[in-house]
Amino acid sequence: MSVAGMAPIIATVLRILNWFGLSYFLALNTIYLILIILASINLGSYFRRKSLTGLEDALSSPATLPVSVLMPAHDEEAGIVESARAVMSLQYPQLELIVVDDGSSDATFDRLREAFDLIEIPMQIPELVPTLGQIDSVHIARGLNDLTVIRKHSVGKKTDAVNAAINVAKYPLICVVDADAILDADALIKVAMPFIDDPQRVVATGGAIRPSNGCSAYRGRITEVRMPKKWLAKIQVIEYLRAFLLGRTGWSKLGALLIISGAFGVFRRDVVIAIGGYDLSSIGEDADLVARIHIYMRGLKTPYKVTFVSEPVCWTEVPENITVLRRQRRRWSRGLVDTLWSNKSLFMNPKYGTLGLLAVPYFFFFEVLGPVVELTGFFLLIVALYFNFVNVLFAGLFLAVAILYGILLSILSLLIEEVSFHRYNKWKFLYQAVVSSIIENFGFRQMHAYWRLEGVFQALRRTDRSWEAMPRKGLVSDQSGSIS
Amino acid sequence: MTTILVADDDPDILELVDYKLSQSGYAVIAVSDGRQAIEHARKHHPALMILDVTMPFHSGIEVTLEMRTDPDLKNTPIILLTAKSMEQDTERGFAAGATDYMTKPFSPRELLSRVQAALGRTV
Amino acid sequence: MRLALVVSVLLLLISIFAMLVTTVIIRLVRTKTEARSAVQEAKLRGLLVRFLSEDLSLFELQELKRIDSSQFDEISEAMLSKVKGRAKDILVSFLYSRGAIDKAIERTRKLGCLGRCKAAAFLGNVGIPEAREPLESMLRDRRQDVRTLAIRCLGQLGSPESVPALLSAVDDHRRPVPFGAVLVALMRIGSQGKGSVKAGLEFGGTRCRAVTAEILGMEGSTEDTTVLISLLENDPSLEVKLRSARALGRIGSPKAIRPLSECLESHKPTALRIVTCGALAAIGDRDTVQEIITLLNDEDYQVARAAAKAASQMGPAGIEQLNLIAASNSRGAAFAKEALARLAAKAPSAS
Repeated sequence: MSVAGMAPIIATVLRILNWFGLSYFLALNTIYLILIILASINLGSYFRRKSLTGLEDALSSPATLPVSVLMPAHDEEAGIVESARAVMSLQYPQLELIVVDDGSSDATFDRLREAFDLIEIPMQIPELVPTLGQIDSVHIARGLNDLTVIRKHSVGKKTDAVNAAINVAKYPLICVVDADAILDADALIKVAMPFIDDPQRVVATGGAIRPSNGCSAYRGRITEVRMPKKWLAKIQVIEYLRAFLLGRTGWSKLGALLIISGAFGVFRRDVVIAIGGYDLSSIGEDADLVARIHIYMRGLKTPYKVTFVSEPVCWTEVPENITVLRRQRRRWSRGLVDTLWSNKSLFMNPKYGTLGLLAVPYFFFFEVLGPVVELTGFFLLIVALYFNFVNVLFAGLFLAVAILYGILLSILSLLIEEVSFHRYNKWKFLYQAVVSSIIENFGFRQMHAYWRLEGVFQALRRTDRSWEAMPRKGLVSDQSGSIS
Repeated sequence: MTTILVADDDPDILELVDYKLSQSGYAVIAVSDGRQAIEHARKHHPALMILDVTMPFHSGIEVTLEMRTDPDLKNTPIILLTAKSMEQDTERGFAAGATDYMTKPFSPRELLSRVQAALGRTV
Repeated sequence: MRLALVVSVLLLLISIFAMLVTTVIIRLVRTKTEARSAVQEAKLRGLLVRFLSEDLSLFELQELKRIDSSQFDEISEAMLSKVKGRAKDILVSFLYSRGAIDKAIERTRKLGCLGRCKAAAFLGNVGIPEAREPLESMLRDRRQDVRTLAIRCLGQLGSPESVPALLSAVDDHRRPVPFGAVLVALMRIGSQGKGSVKAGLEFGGTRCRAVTAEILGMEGSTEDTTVLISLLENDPSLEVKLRSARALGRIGSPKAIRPLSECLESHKPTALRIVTCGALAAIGDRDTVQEIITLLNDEDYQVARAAAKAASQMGPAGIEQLNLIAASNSRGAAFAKEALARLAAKAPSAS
């Protein structure tokens, strides 16, 4: 058949795809709209509470549950002492820090021993949640610091280190923190606040994360918030603003929060133990943990809450070069597919309410399939234009709507940030942020879609899971940067 | 004139303490975080320090520890001021080497008399 | 179709533009007012501080009374929660004379949620009895954060008369309130409210009894031991039992030793046995050491570990026993060694 002969068929196919694309687009935007409205409502209650948050009360209350802060570390000799000190000087009535030296080949442990006067203790560690790497020794700090350091063999997985720490933790709440994260002094009390306000129901909370690139810090605390120098990082600042101010806030309001960032989350220890801790075979361990918490809690048939705290509390370094970013995003995407697959009982299951009927399908159709649709659409558009099936103006308009909508979301999160937290107080930030949200659509967005697609394919091919388990420093946390 | 260093990140309290002490004839250095507190203490060698426990960069307890390792400042009386009233904080404060302890909300008059007492003790 | 697209593009462009403009305006207004108000604030604060220290000249006093700015109200209100004693009395009577208090009471009855919360927080800080009623009615608000705020404010107000309202709020399942907030509020009200707190045992539900146990332990008076013992022995709720055991430990009366020892029995819930170990250690009676040491060989490792820790806190008698176990071949040896090592690490060093 000649090319001309195929034309009517292609035209029909394109028309069908066209309608499909349009309804897909409409559905996606409706969900965004819901999230936006919810985020605005949340803003209202934030202002209401701001006048008297009760943080002071909570700091002096004996009812404030003590927290075990768990910090996995692999080759972190440069910053480990400062990070540990920063955690122990967090504003919180009672906390212990457990650092897991996960098979470091550098002086991570020696630095800790010198700084905190560590002493080895004999300890029988119960296996409440499974661990693989053999534990060599347990050390505690002399004096008033409540610090425990576990030395263990690494199996190349952050989750294994966290599980080991869960087995040693003594307090009812656990907080998992990345060793390279910079926390605000009131980070823990803010994120633990929902547990204090509603101890019967809250089982997990997550804090908002911002890129730390470009910011200055002193003694493990941010002193000045600035925009990163590299455009790739600037774009990620916008991504994070969108994800946390619109996405997570909205999902949390719907009672359907699926991801709590590994860089800063607080969980009830008994619940984490009941579900067997982190799944050591999972790639998207953070989302997987939360998904299993939802499944477990629904199974108990008692009301529960997984809450997101939208105030920025934790700052982490984001990749500034394409190769590393590509690897990170590929891994997130693979992790998401993996999580959705291993917890497929959630999908479209009315038993799980908004989570099963809205959030999980959203993640499947728009986060996993999103890059497929987007790239196919892009490709088809070019084909259609080539065959003259659509008029250039029409295609251009359609593209413009898609891009403008993306920009709208970015600007909206800028507005929300401006009204609520305004942590970026330089005028230059505003200008750079607006430019970033525009240029993001030309190049970055398509590249990102491609990376995510790669991740989806890798997940489908079930490639060996350990080969790129250690991109940057061996321990990488999952914090979806997309609007999720 | 006797110099007193006051460090608190709450401007209301800082001003209140600053004024009360200045009126009573002390020279006051008022700073708003732990980093400046250490800097100014090293530079000016105050006769007494009043430190907030929860302030940025170095908590009052950390500043106290820092002072106790400095040969010039290890005997400077330190009064800790904090919103918390938890026992373990008092304990930590005293273990670090604080001389006295006051919880917020506080009475400016009471603070003054404690300052005088602390200064009297060292003379 | 095409028209729809054109319209959407235009709409999107307009809303993006509008949002941008709003953002810029908000930022402009904020930076402007912040700069201006910082100067103004310093001036007003200085004036207020001198007023509180009773150092204003007559002329300045006249001046002070005539200041009519919301900023000054805010500064004075913020100052309220930071001072006590004479300075606070001066501030409160000043706020009265400005009519700020009457205005706030009025505002708690209005509909706007934000205003109501602010007014409530203010009244709580002032600590005047007239604030109690409007605050108590806010306990029944349909928004949880408003209810929580009301609880905190009642705590700051510190009136023993609000204890019954607080206790019934803690049991309200339709309109739940945070347990911890009620606890803190009751703690702030303190010993004057204890009578009403105890009365809560008669009519209260599980959460109310749990709060009661906690408060009685906090106040730490020996006369409440009997009430707590009966809660420990007879209450159907584990939560209440746990809190009673902890409270008894905190009070430290030897009368509690026997009923507590009974909670160590192996058929009792693990959580209760663990808490009881800690409570007995806190009481610190030498005769209970042996009983706790036996638990080192308990089947439940959590109980064994808690027992080892408890023994390590019971002075020379406990440590001696731990050393014996540590040297033995029994199951408990590991726990004894751990507890001893921890104790050694935490002991104040010779330096």
